[in-house]
Amino acid sequence: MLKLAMQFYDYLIDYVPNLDHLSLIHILTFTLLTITLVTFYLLNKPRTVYLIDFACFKPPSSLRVPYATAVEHGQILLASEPKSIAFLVKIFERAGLGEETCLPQTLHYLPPNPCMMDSRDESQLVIFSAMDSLIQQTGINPKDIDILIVNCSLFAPTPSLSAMVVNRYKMRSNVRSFNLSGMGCSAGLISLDFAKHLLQVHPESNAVVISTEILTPNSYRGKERSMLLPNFLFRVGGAAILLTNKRSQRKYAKYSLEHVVRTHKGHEDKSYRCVTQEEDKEGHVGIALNIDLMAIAANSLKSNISTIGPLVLPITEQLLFVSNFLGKTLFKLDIKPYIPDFKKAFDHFCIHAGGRAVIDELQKHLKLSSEHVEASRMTLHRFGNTSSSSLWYELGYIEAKGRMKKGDRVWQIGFGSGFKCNSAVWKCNRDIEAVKNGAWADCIHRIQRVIGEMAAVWGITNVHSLRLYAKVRLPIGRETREGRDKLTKCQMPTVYSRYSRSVRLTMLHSRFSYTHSSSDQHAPLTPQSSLVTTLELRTLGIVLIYVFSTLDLRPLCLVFYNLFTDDGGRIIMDGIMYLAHIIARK
Amino acid sequence: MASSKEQNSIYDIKISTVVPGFKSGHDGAQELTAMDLAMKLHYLRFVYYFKAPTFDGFTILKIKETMFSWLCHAYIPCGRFRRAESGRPFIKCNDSGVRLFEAKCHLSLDEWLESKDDSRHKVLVPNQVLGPDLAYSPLVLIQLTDFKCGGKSVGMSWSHVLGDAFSAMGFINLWAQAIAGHYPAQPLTMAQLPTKDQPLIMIQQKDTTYDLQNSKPKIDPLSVKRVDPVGDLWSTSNNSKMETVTFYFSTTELTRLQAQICGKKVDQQLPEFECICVVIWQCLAKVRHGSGPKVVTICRNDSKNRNKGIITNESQIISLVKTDKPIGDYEPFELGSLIMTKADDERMKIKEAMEIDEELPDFLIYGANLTFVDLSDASFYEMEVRGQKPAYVNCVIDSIGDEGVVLVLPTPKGCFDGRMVNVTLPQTQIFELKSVLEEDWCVA
Repeated sequence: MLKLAMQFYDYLIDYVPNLDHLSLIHILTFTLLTITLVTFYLLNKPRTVYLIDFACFKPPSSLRVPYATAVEHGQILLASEPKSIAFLVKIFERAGLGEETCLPQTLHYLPPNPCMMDSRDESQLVIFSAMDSLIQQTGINPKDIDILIVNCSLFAPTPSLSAMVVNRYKMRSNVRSFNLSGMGCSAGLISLDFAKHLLQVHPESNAVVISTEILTPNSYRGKERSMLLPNFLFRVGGAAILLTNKRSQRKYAKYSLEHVVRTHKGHEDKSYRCVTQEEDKEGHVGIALNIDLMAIAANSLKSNISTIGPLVLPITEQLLFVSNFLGKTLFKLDIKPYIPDFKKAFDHFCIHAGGRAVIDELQKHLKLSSEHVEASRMTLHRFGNTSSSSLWYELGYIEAKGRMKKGDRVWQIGFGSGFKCNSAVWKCNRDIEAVKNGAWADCIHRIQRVIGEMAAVWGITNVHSLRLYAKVRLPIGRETREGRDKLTKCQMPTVYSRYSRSVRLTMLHSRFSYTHSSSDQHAPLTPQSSLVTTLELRTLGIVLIYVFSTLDLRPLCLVFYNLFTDDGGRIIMDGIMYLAHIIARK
Repeated sequence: MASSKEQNSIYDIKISTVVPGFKSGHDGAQELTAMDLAMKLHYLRFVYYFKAPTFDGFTILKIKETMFSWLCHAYIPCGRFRRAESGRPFIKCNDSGVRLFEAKCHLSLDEWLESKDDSRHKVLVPNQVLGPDLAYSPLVLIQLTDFKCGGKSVGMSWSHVLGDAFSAMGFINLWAQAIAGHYPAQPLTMAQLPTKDQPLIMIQQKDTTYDLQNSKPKIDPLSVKRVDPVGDLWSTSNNSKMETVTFYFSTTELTRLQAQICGKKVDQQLPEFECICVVIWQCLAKVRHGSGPKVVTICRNDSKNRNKGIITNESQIISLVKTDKPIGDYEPFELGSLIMTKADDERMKIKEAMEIDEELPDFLIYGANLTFVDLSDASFYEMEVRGQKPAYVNCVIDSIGDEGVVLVLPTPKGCFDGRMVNVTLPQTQIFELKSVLEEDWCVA
């Protein structure tokens, strides 16, 4: 103690004369600025958003549409267009949908003849079932819900779906309800972002997000190939998610929301027109999918990961990237751009199960292993493309598999019309046990068999080529029997463990193959345009703080101002630390 | 012809497909026996009528739910036909499902059942056949018709290739059980193909028989009629329009007929079925001016070889009765005892005839000769849906030969115990048969 006091005294002695060199005005400005900044920071400190629990709608088995039945109905409905149907069946074969996906009741008819009542019936079935499970799982009283957001792209009735939920659960009169429509498959994350922002301004609130797509009124009944495709891919599904910003709920929460990054490519005409609802020549309304869909999706993903990269990547990856970047720009070295490895940032990936092609493309693009995309593939296989709710089925899959451990980070990526790519990063709050009554509960034990079956049918012993399995649609006739024989001979658990080992190996060797597109290189330094922006600013900020802190303080304000982005808080704190340190050393 | 009143009273038909609720068939291939394939052109059309409280509050959604769980236990009839490389059809168990028709009827069930028009049942059961798009043709079709009074009819069209009438009943009875929440321990299976050793023996046998009669050209057994290759459209066209008429034999009438046929021979009694056969055979001979059918086919339930939970065509005895003199010359009792004693089982011959021909011939069994089918011990009225038994059940065989079919069916319990006989014949013979029956046997 005495020693410390002595040191402090010495320090004061050293320090005080120095004060003479600084004018009073300098000191005052600095103190005021620091106080202001600290207050500002504390006031605006983002509230953590927790996910208490979520529930996915489990379609009753009486809505099942086996592959053969779907094809048969297609054949009957499009009997006059044998070429179109042959083409569609070919695509459907490889779409990655399994035998147990479900369509709403009305679409089981030949021909389907949907009416408003049917659409409402489907909405009630999907939304109420999901809500009921959520209430049952969390024990929340519907009267405690402060914010309600429902997103459904193509069915927007009056009164709205959110009003329907308020009515059913007799929610409070001052509940803030919102109904997002027309926002496509990535709307689930938009709702989430919306909820996040609402929770920033409404303290101690619970928010419920319901993501679904009501298919009944949107089945295309014309003959255009590009518009028929959604009929084959989209299946019934929905999810309800309970979010809160109550700190008291932290220990019960499953996840905390770290980031939501939204990318909207609507400024490009091509992207804008990529997925459109329109009438065909005969006046039938449907969703037309553009042939460039995959390229546009890849492009939007690029923008999205360039924003999310700096937020989530570990410092080593960032340093590697910065040094690579500096080497390339400053020293004009001819080296390949360093591609950050996203597997170091995330433990689980939930890629929107839009179709096999989407998952394949992303797997290739992000150099993910089969295990990483297993949740997406299995969701597509079991539930089909359930639009905005697919991400929740995937999260449910990972949980049901018992893979979600405390501290794990999950990345949800959604794509949708607009063209939008949205992603969210969750951090797991506690080890999650597989629930007994979730959407996956009754089929999770069969998954291993499904994977094995795929392998067996193709005679693949190296199950690492799991990617193949979406291609597996059993060849007609006898081949099936052979496949099954192989299956019985094949020892499933062994195969599966081999698969995991190979996955681990791939994980070691693979690298994220992300490159700047040529257009991005010349783009101005806007926060979303490239991976460099935020990174560079952050480094620059720190350097500037260091330099200016010794000279003059006024330019600092400008720097702070410029840096005041989402991540600014940390930089400012860094800066203040530096300042304090420097001043202390003097 | 069905009067326009009944036919026009059906409206608002909606078509959908019901499938097993869970993946059940696993895309397996179900091979068919020679007997199955010999039956491929025939279809059984059942109509079960249920009175009002049975289906009350049982919405179509709930009905479908029960069907989805029912079909998990009966996935073979949900499959579709495919052809193996050899051209031999097999059922691919791909869970394609059963086609379901929902219809409404302007009339009340009582009005409907009181009607004298015997062809009215036809509009309550889908009349589709397999093909021409074989890969997408459902093997079983069900029609649910709502009557004005709240009654309901369940019409089922069953492809005979799957199994006989008893198999079909086993299938639909599973549904009744599923409604009650009972499920069988094992899903419905199809009779297994003979094991690998058996066909070899069969071939050897065939060879020896052919050595003995080597010079003889192949002759189809008398019990079948070879039709022109039908390709993928599994139905037959008749030379003349076929019509079905229903006769009712009450117990008293049956005893009277028995007495009339047996005459003084009190010690010898002809069973009811044989009596009916004799009566109709003789009447028909008269209608056809004495040149009447000299050969008839008799189909009976082989109850000893029938196992529960199996659909099959092997458990139906198909036998042939031949006469050597004109029917008119026979005493009724003589004819009756001929049916009783001289009926030869033709099943082996049919199977051999099927297997010998590499191209799998297209045969007619029902109506190849005048065919009597004994379904009098069929448990139609045992089917219990939500505690109610059907008020009336009708059954006909569709897509048959010109010689006609006589189905002997049970009657609803309590109403008039006896037999119900569905006679399907060319239209021209029906009217005469009615009058001859009334003249000779006092049967209205």
